[in-house]
Amino acid sequence: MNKKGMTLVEIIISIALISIVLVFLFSLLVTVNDMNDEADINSTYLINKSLILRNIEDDLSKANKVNISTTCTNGEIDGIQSFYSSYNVSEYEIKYQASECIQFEYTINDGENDIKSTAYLAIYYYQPKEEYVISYIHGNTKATRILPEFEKYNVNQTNGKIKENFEIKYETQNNFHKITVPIIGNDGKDYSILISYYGTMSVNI
Amino acid sequence: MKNKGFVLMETIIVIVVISVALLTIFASYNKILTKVKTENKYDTSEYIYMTYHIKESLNDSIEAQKIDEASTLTNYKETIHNIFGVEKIYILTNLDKFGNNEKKVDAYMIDYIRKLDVRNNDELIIVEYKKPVMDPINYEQKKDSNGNELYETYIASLEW
Repeated sequence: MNKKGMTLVEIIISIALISIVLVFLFSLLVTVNDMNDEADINSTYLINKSLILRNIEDDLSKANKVNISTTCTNGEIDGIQSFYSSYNVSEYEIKYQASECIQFEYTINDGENDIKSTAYLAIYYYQPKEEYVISYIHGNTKATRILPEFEKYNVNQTNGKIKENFEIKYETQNNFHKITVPIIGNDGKDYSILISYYGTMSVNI
Repeated sequence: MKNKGFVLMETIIVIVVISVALLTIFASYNKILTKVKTENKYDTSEYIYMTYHIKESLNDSIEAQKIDEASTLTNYKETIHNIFGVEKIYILTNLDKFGNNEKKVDAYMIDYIRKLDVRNNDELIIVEYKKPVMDPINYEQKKDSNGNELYETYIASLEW
């Protein structure tokens, strides 16, 4: 009867080889997990960005007069603050700097009357999560000026904060307009938002 | 009874087989991710809206019969290039005939058109854009080692 098993050398070599495979397998698992997280964040960001863009483009495409500016005055800032406080989100600290808020004033004709509306693309700091958030807030300011019905869509970049030193870039030529809100995540990726418009637009940036 | 356990050779073979299987899985997963990353540059919401504005402006110019004037056309091309970063505009009228004209368009466009899910008689406006690659540190356009500015290609289309 042959009772010869593995020799010590064979066992050591086997363990060494299995360890190498396990190390490789573990690093592969970590890589795949990171890739999955990245894809998840990117897809969420893309969906939220599309929602913001859809609202901006919807508003502007219906408008017959558009004025954009980065001077979100105190009154408008109050409006944004009231909006957040009405939703009990007072922990939001809204940045007042002109470069972090774009105001869109536009007029839509409903068939009979011109209706003036105001919308804001605001970038502010969300204290609890220590991250920057982008919101587009819009609504109709009707004859009796009440607080507009606001909607907001947030872009949360859970893996990174938006850099503070960004400036909104505006380019125009022959009725073509482009606004770039430059955003670079902590992961070094470009998350900027491009807003395009074709038509007459007055600009105060 | 033969009590002989695993020999070294058997262990090595098993490890090699497992490694090859894992590598194959990783390679295919990576291929899928690369494909998704490439397609992130096709039909993004920003560039679809841009294409919509290009289409509207082209229709306006055609209606006003301005597009035939050489100076107006040059001015128009410069404007959309400078503001929207438009590199090329194609009007695809017959997907069947595209196969004969593949050499006339660049690789990005061939890849994009091959991935299109359209009927042969659909007419499309397809616009190719160049977007500057920005440096995450100072938000200035990145350059390669030869000092050339770096761009990424984006493509979007709409019904014409």
